[in-house]
Amino acid sequence: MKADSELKVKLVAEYDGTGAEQAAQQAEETAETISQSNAKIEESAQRAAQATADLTKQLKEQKQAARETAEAQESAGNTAADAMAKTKAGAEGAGAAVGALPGMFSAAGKAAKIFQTAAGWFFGWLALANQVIELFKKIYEWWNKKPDEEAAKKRAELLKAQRDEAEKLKTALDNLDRERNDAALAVARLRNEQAITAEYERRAELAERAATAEDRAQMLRDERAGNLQDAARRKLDIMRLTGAITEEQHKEAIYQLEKTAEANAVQTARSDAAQDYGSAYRNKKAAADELQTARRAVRDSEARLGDFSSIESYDTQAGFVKEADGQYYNARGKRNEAAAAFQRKLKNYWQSMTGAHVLPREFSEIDWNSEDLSGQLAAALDALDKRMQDPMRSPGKMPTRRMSRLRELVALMSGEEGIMADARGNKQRAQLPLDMLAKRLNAAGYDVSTPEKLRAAVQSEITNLGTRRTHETEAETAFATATTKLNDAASNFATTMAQTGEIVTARAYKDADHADEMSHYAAQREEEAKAAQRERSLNADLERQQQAADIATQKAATLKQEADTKLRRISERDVSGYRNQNAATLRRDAAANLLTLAQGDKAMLRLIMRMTDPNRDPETDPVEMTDKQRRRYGTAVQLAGRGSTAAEREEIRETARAMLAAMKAETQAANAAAQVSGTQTMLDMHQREQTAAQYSATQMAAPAAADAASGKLPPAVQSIINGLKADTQRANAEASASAQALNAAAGCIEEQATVIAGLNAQIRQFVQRLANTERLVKNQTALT
Amino acid sequence: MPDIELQCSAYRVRFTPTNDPETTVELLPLGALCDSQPEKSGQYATQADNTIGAAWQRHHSRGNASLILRADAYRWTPSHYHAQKLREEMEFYMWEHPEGVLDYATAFDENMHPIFTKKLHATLADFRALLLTDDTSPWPNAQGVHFVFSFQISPIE
Repeated sequence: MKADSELKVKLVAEYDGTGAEQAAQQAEETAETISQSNAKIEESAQRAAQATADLTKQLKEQKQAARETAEAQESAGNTAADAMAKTKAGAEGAGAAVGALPGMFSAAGKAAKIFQTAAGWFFGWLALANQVIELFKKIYEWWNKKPDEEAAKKRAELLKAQRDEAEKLKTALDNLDRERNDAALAVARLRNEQAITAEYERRAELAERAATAEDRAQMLRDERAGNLQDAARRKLDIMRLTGAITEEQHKEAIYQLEKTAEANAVQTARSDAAQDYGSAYRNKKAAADELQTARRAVRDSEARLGDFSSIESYDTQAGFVKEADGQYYNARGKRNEAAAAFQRKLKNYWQSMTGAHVLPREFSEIDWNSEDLSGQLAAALDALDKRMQDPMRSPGKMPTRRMSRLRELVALMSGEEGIMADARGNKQRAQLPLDMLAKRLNAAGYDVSTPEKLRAAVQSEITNLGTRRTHETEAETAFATATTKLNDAASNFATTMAQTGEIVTARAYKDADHADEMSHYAAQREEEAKAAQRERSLNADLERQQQAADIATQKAATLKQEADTKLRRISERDVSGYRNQNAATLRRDAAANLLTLAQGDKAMLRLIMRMTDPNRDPETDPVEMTDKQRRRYGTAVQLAGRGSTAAEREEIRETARAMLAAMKAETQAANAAAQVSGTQTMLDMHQREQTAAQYSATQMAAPAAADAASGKLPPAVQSIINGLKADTQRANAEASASAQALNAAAGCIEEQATVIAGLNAQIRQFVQRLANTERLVKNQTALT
Repeated sequence: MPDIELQCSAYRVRFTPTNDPETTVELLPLGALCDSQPEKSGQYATQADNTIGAAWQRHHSRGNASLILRADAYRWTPSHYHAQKLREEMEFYMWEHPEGVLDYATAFDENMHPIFTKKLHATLADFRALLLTDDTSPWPNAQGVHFVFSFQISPIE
């Protein structure tokens, strides 16, 4: 962040065309100026306060004066009213006397009355005259109270002076106002300048902080959501933003993150596909095994059961029958019924064959419930056959054909009914499958000790066979499914391998690109290292050259000092001991002037040395000056050389040599300084280049360049301008507020002036009324 | 050191005031350092209208037919105090003696004798005595005065 800020500061500085150092210096100057302005403002405020206090004091005084004026006016008014009242009383008295006049002549004899009236008239007028005199006295007194009037005038003057003073104060306040405004504006301007940097840095920091916080929050969200990839990326972004890692490290880390993620994805995809493939294969194999097992089980079961694929056939063969009640009963259990039925059938057959209602006597001996019914039947049939074959028995002789037919019938019937199977000697044949069955079932673990158990075993085996067949079908289906799945998985695996192979190939290219990119960084680092090395070497050069320059400068200064001393010695040469002082003075001054003029003129100094060379023969080695030199130095050379002594010439020569040496040293110092300056310039250029490289390396370069190309201001500069505008508005608002306050103060002064004007008006009125009173009194007097 | 082209004066200007003919001041010594050689400027001709007495006017209007002679000189002094003293003396002198005769000499031969001399009636038009500073002094030390004077000159009748 710091690096970015510095960079931005640099950018701003670049844009302004000033250096960061200058900016810092400006900031310092600004701070100083602000403090000065603040002091000035404070002083102005104090002065304003002082002025306001003075004004208040004067206002008080004016009020006091006004009060006094009003009192004076009141007293004068009272006096006038008094005088008026007295005048009026006198006039009334006179009126009464005049009113009495007609009555005086009404009666001639009323002399006493007349006298009285006359006396009254006389005294009436006397009283009036007295009153008038009194009035005049009052007026005289009032008229002679000139000091009062003068005081009033003085007050008026004072008021005028105060008003003028108030005007002056107002002007002073206005000036103060202007001064304060100027100072405030200056401060605002300076603060604006200061605020540019501060505001920019603050905004940048805020933006960064906001971005960082947002990133951090997103990172935490991602982490919580298990989105580790994004979380890691965010974390890297934050680290980059906060400057914990460099851009290169950030890029590399992001790339490795992506690469690892991709590799993981490829690995996962391949592994998943392979696992799917393998599991599908295993599933198919298992299904095949299962199918085989099921098939074997079915085959075993079928082999075990043999022909007894159903319980009915077993029952048929084993003598079990299914009765109407749905239950199976074996032959022995149903021997009577079966035997009876057989008897009936045999009887019926016999009757139909022979017409006899009863069976031959051979059959009467048969125990139908015997276990060996078949044997008995066979013996009966054999006996019958024998009897029938008896030649002695003619009528009842039974043809062989019929006998065999009977035998067949018996066999058939017994075969049909299942009880006569072995009766015809086929016992073995009929018994064998059942025995084999029992043996097989017993081998399979069934309990076949009794016929019922054998039947249950058969039943169970048949049920099992059905189950096994179902299972076989299922196994076949499963096998088919597994086969399909295996095909799918194989295809999927191939696809995945192909796709991931593409990704891997692409990654190889990306790796190459990334390596290129990183090599750019490496090159950049190398460049930076080179630049740093160059800067170091330049700095070292600079330091060395600076030292050399310092030494050369010091040497030059020393030599210059020496030359100056020598020159001064010439200038200060005491010529009092010379025989011709005037000529010596002239020579001295000319020599000093010549050398003074020749300062910095190497050719002339050399020429002077040649001129003053004691070994030179003027005849063989004359010194010729150029026109220019003659114009410039001719007079001095002429004056200094004419009549000069060898010592003087030597002195001039020494001084010229010292001056040449000083010049040489100065040239060397200047060269050294030029070298320093050149190195400094190179260093500056180098640093500017570095700054420019850094500038172009940042992401801000592109938009800034685009903005510059499109004539738009860069956002940073625009924001600065916006800030400036806002600050200016704020300053204007402050200035207008100050102006309002000052206007208010001016309003107070105006009010005071109005009060003064009102007082003046009152005074004028008072004077007017006095004049009126005076005129009235005069009129009265004239009337009187 | 001043950044001007200094010269050595090829002229000698002496001033003898009218109100004190016994004293003579050498305003511009021969060979003195100066910014420029003395120069004359102004109007040679007088008003020559066809008015009555034009001939007389032409002969007597020295006030009108005047030239301004301007000259300057750097004077070295042993110390700054001397420079101050010299300046004050010269200022007061010129203030007290604003009119006089200028002895204007140049073209010095090998014996340092001027082969051109001219006496001129002169009225002081401007006089400045500037104390030399490090920036203006042609000498190693800032000791001296730079005199700049202008006289309104007219021929002596």
